[in-house]
Amino acid sequence: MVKVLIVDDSKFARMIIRKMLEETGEFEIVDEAETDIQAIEKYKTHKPDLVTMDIIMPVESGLNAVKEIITFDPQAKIIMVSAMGQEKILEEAMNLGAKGFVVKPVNKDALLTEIKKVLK
Amino acid sequence: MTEFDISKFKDMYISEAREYLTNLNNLLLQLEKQPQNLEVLNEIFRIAHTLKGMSATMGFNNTAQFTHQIETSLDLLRKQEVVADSDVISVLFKCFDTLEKIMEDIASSSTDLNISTEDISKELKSVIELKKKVK
Repeated sequence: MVKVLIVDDSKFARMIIRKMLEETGEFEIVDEAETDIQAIEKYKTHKPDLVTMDIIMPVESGLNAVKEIITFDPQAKIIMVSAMGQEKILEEAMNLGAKGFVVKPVNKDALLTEIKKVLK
Repeated sequence: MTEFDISKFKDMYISEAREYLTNLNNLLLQLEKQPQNLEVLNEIFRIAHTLKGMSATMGFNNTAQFTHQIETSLDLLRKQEVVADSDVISVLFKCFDTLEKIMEDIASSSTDLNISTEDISKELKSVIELKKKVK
């Protein structure tokens, strides 16, 4: 089972990703985080195989979490989950070490394809 | 294609959207008192952005589009390209009222097409353009 940490300020958004992944039977959601600070702490606690990361959320943003997680674990596999029109921020996230991205509204097939690519 | 039934998340969507709308109204009241408060503006922007994403995920594209317009307007406010004066804040209150009505309607009809956003959308566009000019 692939251990996943889901990061998003919306409970609804976290639930959608959780259900999409759990339905496959291949993923174990080890925890959820709703702020960048929580994401960093929970990454260090669980050391998941994969993180799905929202961008616009408290306290700073998903970019801060990417930066801190990559500093802690340069091999961390982070997939950004972003709305359309955030190409610049996405580029920044990739430069900081994120390994992939999917665009909201999240499509299950697109998410699974990106995860497969990142976990290769 | 993998089947994923999004409709079963409608109640959760409405519940969270209502919570956000309460927060948006409270934050707007704060902004009314402190129009330059960037922290409040950023929080309003973040919530509008989240609401847009949730609506798009549910396939409520009318709501997503309307919320996108609100988000774009708020972005201009936080970049201080538009002044958050009483006229702008008044229209934003109306926008949030419309979103509340949409949520009520979605709860009973499961569609976001019954409540028109055309007039309020025009009003928002117009006040933002006007305040850009006078800045």
